[in-house]
Amino acid sequence: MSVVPYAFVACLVVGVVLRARYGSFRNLSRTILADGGHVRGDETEEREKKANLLRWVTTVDHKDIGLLYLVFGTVAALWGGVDSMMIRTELLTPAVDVWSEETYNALFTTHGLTMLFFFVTPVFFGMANYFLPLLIGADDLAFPRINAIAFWLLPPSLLLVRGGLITEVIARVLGLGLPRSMLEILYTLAPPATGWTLYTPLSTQLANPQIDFMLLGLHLSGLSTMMGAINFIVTIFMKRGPDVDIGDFDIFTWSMLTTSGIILFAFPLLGSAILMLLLDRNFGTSFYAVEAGGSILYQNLFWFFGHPEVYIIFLPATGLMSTILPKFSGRKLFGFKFVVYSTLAIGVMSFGVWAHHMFTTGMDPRLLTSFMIVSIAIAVPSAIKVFNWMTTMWKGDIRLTAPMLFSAGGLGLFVIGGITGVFLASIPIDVMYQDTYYVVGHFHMILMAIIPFQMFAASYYWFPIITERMYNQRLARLQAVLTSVGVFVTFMAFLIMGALGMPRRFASYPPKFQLFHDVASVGAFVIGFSVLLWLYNMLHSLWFGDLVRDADVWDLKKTQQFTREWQAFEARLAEKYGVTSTSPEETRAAAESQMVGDQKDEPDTGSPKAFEDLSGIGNDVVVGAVAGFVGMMLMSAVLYVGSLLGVFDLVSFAELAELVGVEGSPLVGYLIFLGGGMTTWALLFVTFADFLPGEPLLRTGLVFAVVMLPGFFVAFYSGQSGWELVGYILVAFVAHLAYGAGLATTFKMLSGRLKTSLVHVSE
Amino acid sequence: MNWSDAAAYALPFLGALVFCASIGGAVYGGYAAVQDDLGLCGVPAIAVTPPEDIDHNAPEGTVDPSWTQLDYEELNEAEKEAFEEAVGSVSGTGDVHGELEHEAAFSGGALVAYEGEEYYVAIETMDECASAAPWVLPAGVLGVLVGLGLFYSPRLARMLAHRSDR
Repeated sequence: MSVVPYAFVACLVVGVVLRARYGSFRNLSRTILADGGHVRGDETEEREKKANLLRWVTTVDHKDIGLLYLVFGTVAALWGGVDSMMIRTELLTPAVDVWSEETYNALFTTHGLTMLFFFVTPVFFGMANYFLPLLIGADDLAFPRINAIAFWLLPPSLLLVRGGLITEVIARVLGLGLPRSMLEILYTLAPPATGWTLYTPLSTQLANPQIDFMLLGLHLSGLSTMMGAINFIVTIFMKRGPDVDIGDFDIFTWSMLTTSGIILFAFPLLGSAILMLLLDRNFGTSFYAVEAGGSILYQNLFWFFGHPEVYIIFLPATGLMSTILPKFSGRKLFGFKFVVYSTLAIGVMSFGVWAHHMFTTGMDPRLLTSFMIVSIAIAVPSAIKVFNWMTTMWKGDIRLTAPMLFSAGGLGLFVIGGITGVFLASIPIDVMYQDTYYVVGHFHMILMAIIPFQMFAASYYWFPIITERMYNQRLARLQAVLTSVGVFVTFMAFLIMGALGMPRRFASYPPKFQLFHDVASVGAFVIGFSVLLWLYNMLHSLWFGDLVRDADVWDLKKTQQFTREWQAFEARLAEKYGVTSTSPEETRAAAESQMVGDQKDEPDTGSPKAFEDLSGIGNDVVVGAVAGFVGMMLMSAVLYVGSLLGVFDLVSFAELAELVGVEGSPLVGYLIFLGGGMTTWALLFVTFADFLPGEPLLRTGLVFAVVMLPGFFVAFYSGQSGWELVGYILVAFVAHLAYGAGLATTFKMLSGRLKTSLVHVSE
Repeated sequence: MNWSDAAAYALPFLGALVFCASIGGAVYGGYAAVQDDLGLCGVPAIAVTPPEDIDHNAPEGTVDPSWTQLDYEELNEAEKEAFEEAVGSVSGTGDVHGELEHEAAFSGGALVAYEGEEYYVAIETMDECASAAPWVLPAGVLGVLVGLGLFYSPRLARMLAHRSDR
């Protein structure tokens, strides 16, 4: 399987070279016109630059280097992806019978290193290289040659990190004809098996010289990343167009600026930590010896880099989400300023959470508590982003294109991954789940949901700008759904396994976990397959995709979101092909949503404005609470009858009281129950009533109550069986119908007097 | 969305799921069938830690009582070859081409006396061979074929319809 990445590299290189050498196969495809029609022909010549190898290795053009970054990152992703497929293949059975333990250890090490250092950052740097100057009106990056050097440091650093595999493959191939004694030098290097964290003392004790090469490679990639970051910062501040002020920055620019700032402070720590490791291994220094700093020094230094690194790879993806999501929601990003503030807040706070990776190392609990608090608090800015994204979509003019499917799907999965992380920030829970699949499931769910998803989304969204062609949209939509399903299946299985105690980083495991591992493997294969679909779509569309001659591919002018990169694209088309700019007769501000029915033509309706809607929200709360109280009274009456019949046990309320630390008090439990029915459930009804089936509102209320029934049934079950159980089910069902009826009718009645935001009622 | 559109998405989606669910059986079943014949398993390896590094694992002058103590001469020929290969290599590992007679001792870790020094020896890998039930490979291959068929079914249907129109 290790030849697969080389095949991919070969395909990509051949594809890029042929595309550059021969231009497009435009005779075979069609040109899209603004009116939706097509023409055939080869009326234009689009090849402007000489296409040869020398040009690609000497270019300092930001777009070219951006493309080089993207190709490199894709190759690295495929290589790291092959690692993960090999890992999942090994884990199909409990025994270690596909690869060896050593190979397995090397696989999860190189998978992590490749994905983090050579896939994610290069791809985002590639996108920033290509689009950031366009977005801020700059003609190139501030230091084009340094930009080129930064990129060309990456291939050798990747080879240094992964060279052990290459030498091993060469040795095995040569071993078919040569004796092993002649190949010993090639066998000396073996893929490192330290884990991507390179923890000491393991990394200082292993003799494998490949570890030294790996450290040098990581150092080199760090230098490359630093050069890129400095270049972006200087470009943003010094090279932006004269009409672009800080207040005009788009959200992707803010994200790249913050990311670059984090890089400046984080990567030197990685450089220092691995340099000392290199010295300990080769020159007899004792930085990490037990008598000196020990392994805890290494962990502190590493995670001071390591956790900000998480945000280095996360923030550009959030920038893309904030860029793409509004375009297909038909309105501008809700809460733009707060999304920017949250990005900056994450940039600062990311340096204050590193020790949550070390909760089990025996650090002073007072120190750990402070890290726990900051780790929980850092969820707030991410939540701000999530709520703003959701509000942007709320009642928007949603178009289910592939970029939108990736954004919406990623948003849902990101919430699951994020919330599982908030639990881990709590010290007692982290102690329980340390080094289990729960941790692996958490970070894979959150990273997959936001990073590759947004890369896919951006690759589709900007594909016409880069290639002047359109991709296969049906295949892309299918790929988006498949990826979402694959990620959910794989990493939910991880989370469940972890909760059951499955430790990470073991090639063998107890047979009781096999079902979960097999489910996870199937999910992983789905992800792998969908990645291949994406690759096929990109390469095929690069050559055979429909030609694009109208720059407004996504109808962005209608909502006044035809941003700078698209304007530049339009100018390019006009210059190359003489295509005149098309603008729709009617446009509306992106701040206004596409409303339906009578409200369609009202200029003041549209995007929710937080302050204007406050009164409606306040009324919702009041009316919902009163309606909830009425519903709860009806429900309580039914439950009381149930208790008289002996099928419902009032003592089960006592368990609710235990949640707030009161032992054995059904009364306190009932008051909590009552409060929940007046607040949480009532407000959920008010919020979601528009989206639940059923007309009129009474039927909606009944549907809502029945949806809640299973939760109640499990929570208040007290061991009934036989006819008692049947009676319990019936009482619970009737009680919920009573709650739903009381809630809905009261809400309907009061809404006539107090203005609420529920469309159901207003209609 | 009409039935045709729904099928255009649903069938490839279903096909992709069937295909991916069958890859494991096809790959693992196929690999199990040929792994032993290709010599890709069944050669255990031992890891030998030189005396100067043993102190990393146990304080100087102490020996873990659970470690078995052996003399080099007690090892069989295959174990001796592997031991010497490990001592002479940078990686510190050696393959046992033959019977691993002291598997139990090496599993828990053993001290082997060799040329006046004590080396710590443990099993690096047992390099087990995969074993799959006879139905796994055919079921996996069948699933892969069915999955691919479903995945391409809308395209095949269009091709057939186009042909019949002509």
